[in-house]
Amino acid sequence: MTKKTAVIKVRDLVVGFGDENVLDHLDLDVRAAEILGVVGASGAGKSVLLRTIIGLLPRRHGTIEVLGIDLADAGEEERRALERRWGVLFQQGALFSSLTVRQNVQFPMRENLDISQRLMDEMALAKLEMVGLAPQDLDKFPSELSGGMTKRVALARALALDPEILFLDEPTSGLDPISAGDFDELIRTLQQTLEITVFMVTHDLESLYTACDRIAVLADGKVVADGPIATMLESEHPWVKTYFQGKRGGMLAERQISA
Amino acid sequence: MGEALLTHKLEGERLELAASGSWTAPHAGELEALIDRVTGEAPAAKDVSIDMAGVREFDTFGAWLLERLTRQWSAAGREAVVLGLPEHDRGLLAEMHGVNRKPAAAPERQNPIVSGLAALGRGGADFGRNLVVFADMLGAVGMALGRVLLRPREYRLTSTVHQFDRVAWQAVPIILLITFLIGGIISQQGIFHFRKFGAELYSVDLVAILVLREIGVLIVAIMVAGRSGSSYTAEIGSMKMREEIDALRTMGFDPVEVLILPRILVLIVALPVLTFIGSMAALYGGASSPGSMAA
Repeated sequence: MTKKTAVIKVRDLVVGFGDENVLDHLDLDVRAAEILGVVGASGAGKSVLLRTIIGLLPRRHGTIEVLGIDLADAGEEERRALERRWGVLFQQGALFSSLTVRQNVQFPMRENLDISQRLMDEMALAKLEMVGLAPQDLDKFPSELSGGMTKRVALARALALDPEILFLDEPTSGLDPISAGDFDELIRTLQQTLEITVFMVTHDLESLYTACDRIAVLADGKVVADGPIATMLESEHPWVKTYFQGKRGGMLAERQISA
Repeated sequence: MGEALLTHKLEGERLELAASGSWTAPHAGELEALIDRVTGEAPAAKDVSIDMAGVREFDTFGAWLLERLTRQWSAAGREAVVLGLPEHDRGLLAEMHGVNRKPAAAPERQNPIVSGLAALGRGGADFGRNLVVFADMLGAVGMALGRVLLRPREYRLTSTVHQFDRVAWQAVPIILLITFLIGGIISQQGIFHFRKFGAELYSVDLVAILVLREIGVLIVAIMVAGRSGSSYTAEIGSMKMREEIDALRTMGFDPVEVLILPRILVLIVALPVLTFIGSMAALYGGASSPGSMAA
């Protein structure tokens, strides 16, 4: 796997609502088999960027290329084929409330693959075990799950078709620090075993330190800094400085240096 | 399909499999059938070796099918060897090695008669519970109404006006349209059939009596239930989900008094008004149907 190829290429992207442009001529590359963390102040457009890349929001200008396919040129069929090659973990999990855990994970397989029920059962169980769920949770409904379990099931569903890219929208929000740490580690392990590219929107400094290979900071509708943690700590941009060297960021930075 | 995913060769008691191509999710169904067939064809084989060197793409589906194959052979006391798997795919196979060890209990198959009876029983119990909840709600509304009557200053007039606008005023166009059409249809059909007896004029009575006594109020009531009732359900349901109702309660408000009482009172006032408007539209529709002009 070559490290340098970009699997997601965003060029000159403008996205807005009403009179306001949330993303203003933004450029971003996501390279193969890396975990990219996207941070920024609330309302800076992190989720908007993610939703635009996966095609939920219309763009005003610019191009987005995913896995070598330009989303603007792609026909219906091509788009759907492309959508099968990525998995999305939504902030609230977005599990189908009328389906059990097992059925939720099997849903993409049932719709997209022509495989036997036996293989589907085994694969669903395998995915759920990979994300750390016990077999007895398989027939529960989403309403019976805790926040951490919901995220894990949603992750298993996102991984159902062995995607090449995984989009995570604030994967650790709403989890206690221990569960959040476990989840970061899980993402890291899965990314290494399955060799997927991860695009992660987050608020969680801890995640940035433990899980991400590279960080992109969004401010004023643009990427104002990108690179590994070390680059972030040296950045002169005021927001980046406050974020990484503020009270909470500073503590983690010291730990990183002393470790 | 350009190339075979799996080819086999029987060497004495040893089954040699050679894998190639994409062992990935899109080919999983085909691959599963292929593996079953190939291994089924060689019942005499003692050992199996799988050469994975030709595989270009490999994902969890492929890894699991490979793992399942080796597991099956080992379970039967025979030997299964995987050869030539690229270094970076070994982690995946190792990961699959650990899963599905404790198969989940298959969902219990119940006797259809028993499960049917159980569903019926549950339905009955649910009905009883719903009756209690409904009585509880009626009581709460009654209590809230009593409180409001004692202290009329606390009644939410603004909310009532807003609801009246939504339920009554904004419903007028659709109710006018539907009742107008119904009136027209009754009149037209009445004339069509009464003509046989030379009694076209009685269709006027038919429209007037049917609309004013029966259909008018029924149609309007059904429309209000469908239009406003379902929007109330969705609205209050989403408020409950977003914890707005809990917020009201913790601030010392009674949700029934704030949310439900104004809506019910508005419906009580709006329904007769809408029925009147609807009935007039239906009469107008009856009078202006093409048949009635001719009569």
